[in-house]
Amino acid sequence: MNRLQKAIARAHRNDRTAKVLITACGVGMALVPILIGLFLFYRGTDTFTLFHHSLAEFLFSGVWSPSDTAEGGGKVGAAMFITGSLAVCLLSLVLTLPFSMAAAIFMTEIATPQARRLLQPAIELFTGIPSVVYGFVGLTVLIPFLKSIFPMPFSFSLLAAGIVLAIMIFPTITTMSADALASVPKSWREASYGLGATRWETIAHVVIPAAKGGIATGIILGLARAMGEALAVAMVIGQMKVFPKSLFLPASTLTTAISADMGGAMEGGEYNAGLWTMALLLFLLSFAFIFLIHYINDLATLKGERK
Amino acid sequence: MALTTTTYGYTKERSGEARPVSPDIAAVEPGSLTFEINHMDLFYGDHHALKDVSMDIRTHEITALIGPSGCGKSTFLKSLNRRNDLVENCRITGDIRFEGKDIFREVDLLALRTRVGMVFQQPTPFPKSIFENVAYGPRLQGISHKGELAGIVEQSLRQAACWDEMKDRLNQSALGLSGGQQQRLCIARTLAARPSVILMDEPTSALDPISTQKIEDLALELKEKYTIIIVTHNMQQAKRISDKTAFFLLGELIEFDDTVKMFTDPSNPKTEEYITGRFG
Amino acid sequence: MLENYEKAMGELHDRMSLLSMKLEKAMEDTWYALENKDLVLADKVYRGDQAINDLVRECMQKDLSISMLHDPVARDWRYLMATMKILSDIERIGDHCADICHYLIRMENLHHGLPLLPGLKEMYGVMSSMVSDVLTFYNSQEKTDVELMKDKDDIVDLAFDSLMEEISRQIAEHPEYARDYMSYVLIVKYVERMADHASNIADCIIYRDTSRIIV
Repeated sequence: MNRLQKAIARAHRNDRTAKVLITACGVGMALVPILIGLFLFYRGTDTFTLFHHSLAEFLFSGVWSPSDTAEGGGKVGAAMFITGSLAVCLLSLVLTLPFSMAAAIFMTEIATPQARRLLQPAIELFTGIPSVVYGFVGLTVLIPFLKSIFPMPFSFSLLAAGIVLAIMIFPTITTMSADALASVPKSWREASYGLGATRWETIAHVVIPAAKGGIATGIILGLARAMGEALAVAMVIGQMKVFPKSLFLPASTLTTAISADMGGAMEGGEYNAGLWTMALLLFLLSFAFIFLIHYINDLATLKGERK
Repeated sequence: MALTTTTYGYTKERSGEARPVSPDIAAVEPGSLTFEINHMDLFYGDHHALKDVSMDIRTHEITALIGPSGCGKSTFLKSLNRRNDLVENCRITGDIRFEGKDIFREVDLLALRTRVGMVFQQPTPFPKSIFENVAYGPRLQGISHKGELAGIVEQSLRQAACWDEMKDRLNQSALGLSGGQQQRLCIARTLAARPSVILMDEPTSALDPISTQKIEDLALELKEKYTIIIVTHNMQQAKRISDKTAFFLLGELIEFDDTVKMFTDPSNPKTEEYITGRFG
Repeated sequence: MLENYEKAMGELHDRMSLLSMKLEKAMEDTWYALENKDLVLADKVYRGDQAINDLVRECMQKDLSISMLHDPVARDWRYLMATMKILSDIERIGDHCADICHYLIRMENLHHGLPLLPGLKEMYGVMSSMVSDVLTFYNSQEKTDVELMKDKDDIVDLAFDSLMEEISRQIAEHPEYARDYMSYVLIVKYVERMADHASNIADCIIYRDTSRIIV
């Protein structure tokens, strides 16, 4: 019995050790974003505390001319970047959504299993392509092409950025939507056919409504990715610090502004602080997206449904 | 003998026209044949799943299909409303007639599936409200007037003996119901599409005894207006509710007879062996 | 599950065999007592009916519980249903043996040595062979020869009629023995009833084998 007791004691020890290690790693890593957030708060609020600009000015003023000194005195209005980010994200969503939905429906409802086995990895491969490659192809192929069709005084344009982003977020939305559609139980489709529905009626009335939680999640993830993309957008959007007035003119986004100027701005200066505030804004926006995903998933379950 | 056909247009190919609306079920003559199956064979690829099956199914009767697992009874049932069309590599030869018309060549697929409803082993309510579940079939048939839909939903729920339980929660999700209630909801949903035949594929095997009994009672009530074909692995159930029983074994129809006769004095020794539990 | 069922059926079968043996013995003893006016034996048979009734009750109980627990169908069902009915016929046959013995004792107590009726031995013999045959058919599950049963039943009925004639003649000639001859009437009647019960058992066996119901 002594051997048994020793074995039991050892087992309990190992159990405790494992628990401690795993907890440390898990909690440790979970702390990292919190620490980043705290750091961003610390630097990002300089604009308001050190340089005495108001939140309203930051969010809504279109005048962006911060002084690159530690004294301040310039104007920190990030509205044009915010509008630019929103515009380019929405544009990419509008462009990609029809194709994403069509591809997802094709993959789950129409394609034969062999076709699906080819198509799915192909789409997932998309996500592995580095953004600089997208940017480069956009720069060398897309921009000349667009210039030959549309009037583009500066070659770079919002449209080009929208198209590039659309292609980048296409695989995200497609695979998530396809997964959501595929996880709709086959029995619901069969029940629908049994009641005399055609395939398209079944897809429209049963499958898509059932998958809308997953599809919405995919869309928001795509949007979040679009919002956070810096390099590819920077290479084709032109980075002119103006409001996005037309599809065919260049513009700027939050991400391109930060990536372009962060290196040059003086540490501790007003310009630098303004950029940190934009970074903080991006960070908060990504939080907002996560909450939005959870909220939509909750909405998607009807009242009285057992989860 | 058969139902008048012009009201909802049998067509040769799948039509893109307006969907046929189910006529009144009472128009069917009692004692006539709902299904006539002649020398039907079914292949899944090379596998010969159903061998030379022939039988006639009468109107307003409950026919039970029994047999050990894998004997082909579910496959046979699925052929009656052409659910096997959805399966790859499935080939059917022979003659299957619904109310006198060949279901592959003379009956529109959607019309067939509307007239021949199906209830599955696992209850499959859609993730919609109770009302929307039941209204699904009528909506497909083009009925969109709210009052009319409400009437159909109430009538169907009453027929399925669950109106009282559900009338106060029509707008709540169907997924919040218990298993037995969900199954009765699925039956109501099938009834709302105005079928004349209800196919049931082991409808109570996932339910507790009380829910099972409620559904059996329901089947006996529905028999007066509908023709019911039920696959069951529970012989006591077949005995309790069916008028005729068909025994399948390894893809063949071994015996098809009145239930009382089959369970008192079966003609085929294989039937006797199976029902007395001496194999299978 | 089938094992349980087969085991229970085996037990029922054994008890039925025992019952059949007891019944045949009772019938033999009854005749011996009747022929030899052995009142001690008659009394034994009379009291022994209790044991037969107990055994019948036991078999009925077993039959009913197998039916209820195992949900038999087809051949099994017919066997169990036929057995129930046969048990009640067997019980009646046993009772009639006891009744014959009872009236024999009463008869002898009134007047010793009344002669045996002519033809009663043959009648009893035919009836006894009917009962033996039908019990053999039941226990061995052989095919029954219905026509034979019918013929024997007819013989018994004819014998009954002629014996009634004889008894009424005797009563007219010896009115002082009227009371005894009335006992004899009952005895002869019981023999005829026993043959009827044997015929009923044959009908039940036909149901068991062919699902035809004959009344």
